[in-house]
This record gives sequence, structure tokens and C-alpha cells, in this order.
Amino acid sequence: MFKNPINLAFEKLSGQLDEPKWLQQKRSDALKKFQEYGLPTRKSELWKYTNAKKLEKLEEVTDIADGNDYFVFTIKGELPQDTLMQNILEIDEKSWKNIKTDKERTFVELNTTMLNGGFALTIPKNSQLKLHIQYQQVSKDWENIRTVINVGENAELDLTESYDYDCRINHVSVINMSTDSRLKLHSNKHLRKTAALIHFAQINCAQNVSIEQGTINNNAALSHSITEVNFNGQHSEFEAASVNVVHDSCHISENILVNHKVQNCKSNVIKRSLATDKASVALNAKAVVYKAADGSDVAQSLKNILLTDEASIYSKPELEINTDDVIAAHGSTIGELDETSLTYLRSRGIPKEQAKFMLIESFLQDANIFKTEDFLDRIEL
Amino acid sequence: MLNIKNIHAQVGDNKILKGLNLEIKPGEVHAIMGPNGAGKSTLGNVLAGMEKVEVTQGSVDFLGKDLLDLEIEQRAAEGIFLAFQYPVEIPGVNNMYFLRAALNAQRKYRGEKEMNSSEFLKLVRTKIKQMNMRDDLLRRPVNEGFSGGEKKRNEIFQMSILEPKLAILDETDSGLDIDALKIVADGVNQLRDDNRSFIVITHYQRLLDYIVPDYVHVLADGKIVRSGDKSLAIELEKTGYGWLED
Repeated sequence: MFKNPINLAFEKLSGQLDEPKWLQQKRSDALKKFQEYGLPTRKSELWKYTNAKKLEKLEEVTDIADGNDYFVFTIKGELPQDTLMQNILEIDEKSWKNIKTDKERTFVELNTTMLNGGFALTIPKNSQLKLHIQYQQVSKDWENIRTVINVGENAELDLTESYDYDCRINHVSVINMSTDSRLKLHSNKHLRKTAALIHFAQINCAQNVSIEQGTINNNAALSHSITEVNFNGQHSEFEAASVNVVHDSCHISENILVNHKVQNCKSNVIKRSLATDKASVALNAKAVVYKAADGSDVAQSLKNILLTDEASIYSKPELEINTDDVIAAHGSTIGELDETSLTYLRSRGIPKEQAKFMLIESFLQDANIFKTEDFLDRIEL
Repeated sequence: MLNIKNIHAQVGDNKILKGLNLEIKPGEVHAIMGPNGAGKSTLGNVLAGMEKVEVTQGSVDFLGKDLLDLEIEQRAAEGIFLAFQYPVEIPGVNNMYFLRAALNAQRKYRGEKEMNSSEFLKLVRTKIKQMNMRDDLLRRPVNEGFSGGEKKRNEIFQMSILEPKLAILDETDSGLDIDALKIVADGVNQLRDDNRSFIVITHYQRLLDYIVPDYVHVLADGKIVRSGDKSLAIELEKTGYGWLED
């Protein structure tokens, strides 16, 4: 997909498409940029511990669900009458939002080049909506999906997004939050050990926005995500908690950048990761507090447990603070299960494996942001 | 019930127990006293099966079984309970969940029927009342944010739920004010019966005013050097351990 075949694939795709010239131009420009950037290398900070070349050697997707014949997504939930939903390939040019890219975000360009599905959803002001969106694999090849969600003023969205278990998806998502809007985002990336997922998400916040995001990343041959949060209006809050659990030779890289561009916003990033066998996790959590962003409150907590000698975790919290009046805290730990706690549980008669499981459960519960009872049932431990 | 013969134990290269012998019969309370570094806590750790302690010589027979051959959790299920000197905080693990898991693991090991949640709740409510403890401790994570006294009381509460055959109290009185000490001692006394034995490790005689021992042993340099009844503890309170050097 990434080397020579990309030109051929693009030619084939553009020959088949009956779409506006502006979009064809976007695809063509994006292809040039993708070819200019190339695949990310270990010189890029967000790909330092992720081998992008692994994407060229993936096993074929074999498990395509029945009924996944055309649409790369399904939506469960009722849309209010005045909700506007459009096929991403049919929006007008001015609704298209360019995303700033660089070598680390090269897959955003590839997504534009090969875009084959998605939607633009506009949720009216003052409405409340609960949706479950499933991103689907419809072919044996990569699905390039782009989604745009505009949440209107004082609207509330409870969104669950999940991906087909055996997927090969390159997803670009943009969420624009209007003033006083609220979002609960449940992101479920429980994937097959041969699956691959590349996800770039951009969340733009106006004033007085509240966002809670809970993510489960479980397995995948390679899962790489970059989330960019932009505080453009004051008094907005973003709280994100994620769990990364990997087995065998799986690899998850989770990267988040929070831009505190204006005053009095609050961000809290919690990550709990667990790696076993030969699996690996790479984490970056960065917050940039701009010069004018006094009153910012930033917290990052990255805790990681290695269950085997061959597993590896790279964990990097990062604060870039360019003003004085800021509350900021960050921390990162990597270690084994606490032997003292394990001994204490065993001393009360709890067998070693059960005691380990209890400690793992308690460790991961820190990231159960929505306090759901089935939280651990959704993770392959 | 318990027969310890010529136990030698070490932590790393540090030899701590050097030929300790002790026999305990059902229903007896034995107090272990002695200067700092004598090996009192190590004795408790040897019996409970803590992995940091290595037994290099000797044997421990507990109700006809070779205790040293058992894993920590097996010893607990056989009826050994160690009340920790420094109870461990386990954030995220709810006290009730932990206790039920422990009780049912022990019952399963012994081939008994596991307790369902309503049976367990009933048991817990009865016991917590008997122990004069606040029930909000149960809803909190194990020992997290507990005061020193609350942690020690929680140990005794766990003991009352698990009903061990031999309980080892490792300096359970340290850090307790007089009211907390009485509550802890009351809890222990309620559990005393003809079949349950106790090893009470302490520095001070005052705990033994409330938990009256059948025997008092002085442990020094890894061995029991003197044994007697409760009056020995009173004597030690007056004389200290200076005589050991003579």
C-alpha cells in the first residue's frame, strides 16, 4: 500500500470516482505530501518506538463481518430531525477542514488521498444525543475513513466509537465543540492481534466546553493514535483516561497533545498500561501552555506495568509552559506488580494468580472514567 | 498445634533466627518479647511464609502438616493469620471485595461451600458490630487513607472474618492510643477459645494487661532465652533487657 502500489491504487481510485474537482485536487495534493513525507521513521518523536514498516507486512484481513458490504460505518441511535448528516465525499469545499500535517502526521495525507468513506455530522444546539458508531472493514485492504462532528451550542453528545475486531483502518476524526457543549466519548479499540489502526483525532473546543474521554486500547499488530486537543475558548475542560493492554507481539502507541491556547482551561490525562509477552506500548502526553494562557490547570498521570521481562513500555509525559500562573503536575512510572501488595493478598489465602488479577484490576480501574461496571469485561487481560 | 524445632532463618545474608524452638497447644496465648532486632517479626514471617525470609534449617509442624512446605496462601487457608506490623495499602481494591475473595479462597481450599454476597454481608455486619468498628471502612480501598489505628483494627477485623486457628499479632499495639488498644484487645479476646491460639509479638507489657498470655517468651539473638508466665512480662517492664548481656 505504501510504496509503489500507492500511485497505482490512487490512479485506479481516481478513475473510478465521480466527485468534485476540488476533492480530486485535495487527494492529488495530499498524495504529493505523503510521498514527500514518506513513512514515519524512528527519528520522529511520535514514532520513535513504533516501527511503521510493520504496516507493510501485515497479514490479510480475513474476518469481514457479514453485511459490511459498502458502508465503512454504522450508526446506532436516533438522530434528531434537525441533525445534518452528510457523506464526507459529498460535502462542499468550504466544509472541508484542512489539517496541518508534518512527517509525524503523514497518514492524515494518506487518508485524504485514499479516502473511501465517512461522514460530517452537525448536532443542533441545545440537543442531547446518544450515538454508537462502529467503524467497519468492508474490504481486505485499508479503509480510509474521515469523520467530522460539529456539536452545537449547549448540546450534549454521548458517543461510543468502536472498530471492527479485525480491521485495517486509517481514521481521521475532527470534533468541533461549540460554546457550552458537552461530550462523553467512549472509544473502544479492542482489536485482533493481527489488526492495524491508525487514528488521528483533532478536538477543537470553544468556550465552556466539557469533554470526558475514556479509551480502551487492547492489542492490534499495530495501533497508533495521535489526539490533538485545542482549547480555543476559556473555561473548557478535557479529561481523558485510557487503558492500554497488549499481549503477544502487539504494539500500541498513544499520543496526545493538549494545546492550552487561552486562559483558565483544565486538562487531565490519565493512562494506565499493561504489557505482557513481547508486547510493547509507547506513550506520549504533551501539554503546551501558551504565553497568554494564565490560569491553566494541567495534569498528566502515566502509570505502567510490565508483566514479563520481554515486554516494553516507553512513557513520556511532557509539559511546555510559557507563562507563570499555571497549576501543572505530571508523573510517569514503569514497574512490575507490587510484590508487597501481592504478598499481603496471598497472606489472606488468595491464590497468587487471583491476587495478581485483583491488583491488575485495581490498577486499571483508575482509568475507568465513566465508572462503568462492565469496564474490565471489555478488556482482554 | 504448632511445633517449631530448631529453626534457623535469614534475610539475605543476615542470619536472624538461630535455632528457635517453640510449642503451642490449642487455645494457648504466647507472648513473644525481646529487644529490637532479636528476630520477633522474623518468627512471624517464617510462620506466615513471607518469601523474603529464607529458612535454612529446622522444621515447623502445624496440625500435622509440614508448614514450611506450603505456599503463603495455603498456610492462610490452613489457618495461619499474620496481623501485619505495617498493614499494606492497596488502592483500588475495595475492603469488602478483598475480604470476600479471601474468605471464599480459603473455603474453596478447604473444600467448603463458597459464601454468596448476601451471606457474606450478613457475616460482615455481625462481625463489625462485635468489633466496635465503623462500617465505612468496608467501603474504602484496603487500608488506603486509614490512620495507623484504623489499619491495625482492620487487621483484627480481617482476623475475625477469616477465623484462623493460629493468629500471629506482630506488634499490633505499636502506634495505638489507649482507646484503640482496648478495641484491638477486645477484638482478640472475643476470638479466644479452646481451639484458637495466638502468638502476640510486642515490646510492651501494657498490651498484655488486656490480652493476658498463658506464656511469655524472651527472644534474643534468634533464640528463646527465657520463658515464663505473665509475671515475666511485668519483670521485663521493670528490668529491661540489660540482663541479656550478662
